[in-house]
Amino acid sequence: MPPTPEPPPAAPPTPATSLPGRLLNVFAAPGEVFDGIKTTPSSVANWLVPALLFMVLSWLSAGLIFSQPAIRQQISELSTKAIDRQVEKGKISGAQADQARAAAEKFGSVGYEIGAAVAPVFAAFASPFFGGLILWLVGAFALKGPFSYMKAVEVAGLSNMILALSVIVKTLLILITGNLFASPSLALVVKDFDPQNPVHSLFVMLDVMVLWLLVVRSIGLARVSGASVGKAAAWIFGIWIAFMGVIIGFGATVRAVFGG
Amino acid sequence: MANSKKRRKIIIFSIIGVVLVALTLVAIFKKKQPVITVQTEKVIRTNIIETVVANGKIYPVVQVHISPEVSGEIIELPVKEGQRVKKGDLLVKINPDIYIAAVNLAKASYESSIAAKASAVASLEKAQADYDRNQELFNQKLLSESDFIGFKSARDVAKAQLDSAIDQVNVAKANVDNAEEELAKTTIVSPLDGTISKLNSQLGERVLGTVQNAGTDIMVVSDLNTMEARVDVGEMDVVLIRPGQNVSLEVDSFKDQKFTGTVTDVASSSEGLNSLSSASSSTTQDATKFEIRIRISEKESFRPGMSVTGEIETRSRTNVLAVPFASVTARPPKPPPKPPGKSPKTNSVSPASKATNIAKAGGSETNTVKVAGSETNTAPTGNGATNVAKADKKGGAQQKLVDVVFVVEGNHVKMVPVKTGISDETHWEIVEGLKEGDEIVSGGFRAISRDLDDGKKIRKGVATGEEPKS
Repeated sequence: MPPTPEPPPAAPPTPATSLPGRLLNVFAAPGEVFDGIKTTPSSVANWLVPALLFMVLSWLSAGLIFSQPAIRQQISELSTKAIDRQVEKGKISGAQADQARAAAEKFGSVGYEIGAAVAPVFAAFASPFFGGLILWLVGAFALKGPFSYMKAVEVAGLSNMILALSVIVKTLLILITGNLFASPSLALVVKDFDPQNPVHSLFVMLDVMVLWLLVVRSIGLARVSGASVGKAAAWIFGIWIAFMGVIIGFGATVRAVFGG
Repeated sequence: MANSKKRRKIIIFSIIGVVLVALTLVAIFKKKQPVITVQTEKVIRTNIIETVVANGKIYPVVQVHISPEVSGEIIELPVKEGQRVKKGDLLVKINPDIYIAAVNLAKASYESSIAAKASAVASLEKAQADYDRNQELFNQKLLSESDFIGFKSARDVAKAQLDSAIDQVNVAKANVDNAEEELAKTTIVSPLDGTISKLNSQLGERVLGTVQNAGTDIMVVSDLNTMEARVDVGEMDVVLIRPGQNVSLEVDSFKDQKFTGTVTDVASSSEGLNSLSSASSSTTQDATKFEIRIRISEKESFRPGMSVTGEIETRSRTNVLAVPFASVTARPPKPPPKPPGKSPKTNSVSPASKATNIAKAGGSETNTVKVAGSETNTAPTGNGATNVAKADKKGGAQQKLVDVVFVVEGNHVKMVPVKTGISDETHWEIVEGLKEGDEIVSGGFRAISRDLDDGKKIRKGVATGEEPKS
């Protein structure tokens, strides 16, 4: 009886890295981080810490941005422009416009400040869970990869470190340009940015940091599902393009129907 | 392999670090200044005609109010409103019965006085004959002196009675004439060729003659061939208006049509001056107005009372430097350069409170005094706009504002004091301070009146609060 060949030795397990190590390595070696995620038990810290970091950075950023006179001026101008559009379309009278302008001058930035305080909380927690859901659906059903939903949440949560870095970069760009809509995207080259212009909105979508985030999430999806990075990226980018198309189209439709 | 991964991580973190540090440094050292969106225009050469705009109504140059001189009931009224009449045409007939009776009475009295006069003549003839016969007897000493004096007196009395009778005849004749005159006044005819522009009374109505009070205003006869506009102007503008100045007129009833006219008369005293007592005039809130009469050149079917707006051309300049009306605002003058070594004394006002836009309407200038602290912004009214900022009284003496224009220099503005001349609806004449072709800020209103200051950063575009000029 010939001796049965010994099974090949299993690949050495990836050494578990510390949380700070995972949070930092997601920028430079995301594949390594997500390999570790796949083999280690789920950890809440993997998505919670990036979410908290994102939230705190967003608040600090908002405080810094809204303390700038240039930004306050821009907010005031945006409010006035919006009121002018309403007058132009005959939706409000001149007297109402005057009242609205006075109110905008008094409370104009308050709305933005409230938004800047509340939105990060929502985004910080919605992003890992919603992003994780997309990853899990694609991974489980399209790529036939057996992994749990919480693994997908961890992938999405860790990749949100890119978003946290994006907050810093965006804040610095806003402070430098004095433009509330500045971002590391094509919108940076638009002279008079109009948030209601669909082309300008498209430029905002082409954000370096967002693309980086999508690449990292694609790598994460590939690692946890066992699919190739190219296939995962095709799904992630495809969904993102469709999602952005829906958002831009919805915005344009709303403006067309209700007159923005 | 591990080294390669480590090197890759170092490179990536280095890139991230360098980018963040670079952006942070730029953000820290970049001069933070709000960028104000403005609209710009060039200083141009153009003709400027300064006008005073005034509102009023149209009236005929000649119009006669018909009132009766005698009282009574209207028994004939052969005209209606709007009817054309010729001079001498019957307008009104008042019941003449009592005036005919008065004439008859006067005539009877006259006849009676004539009879009385004849009687007096006969009496005088008899008295004279008695006197003559008795004078002869008296001369022959056949008659006593007392009897003779009696005949003489009788003759003198008869003479006086005749004189009285003659006067009575004259009085009676005058009464007849007066009664006939009164009777004639019961018939009123048109004093001119014209149109019945207003008819106040009706057939059968009782009217009062002008002997009693003002009399009843039965109708108005107007010559509608020559019309004039009577407009009111304020006391600031009236000094600019002279007879002979040209006027462009717009009558509400004739849309999209412009008429021309000439100033014929400028009131020398304000309206209602005589009717106001000194006490009431001091408390009245009404603006002081002066009436200007403008003869309309065109023959159109104007009707008295139509509303009219006149633009009186008071002054004009040809080929002068001009800037848009909105470009000129008022600011405290720039402090003179400080001599070296002296500590700066702040007499300036915070930019946020420097909101001043002086109203200049119809050529009248308003000197506004500015002060820091609170601020009032008044929306443009009439021909101009007034934005007056109050100054900080704690800051000391009030500063007199100067007219300024913001000249574009790259992406900044320079505040340039200017001397303005006359203005029309859209432009100010610039007497000094700018040169042709200079690019100046022309909008928006808030930027010019409040936000802009010397050296402020700007961006050209559609300023908020207004739309681009088409």
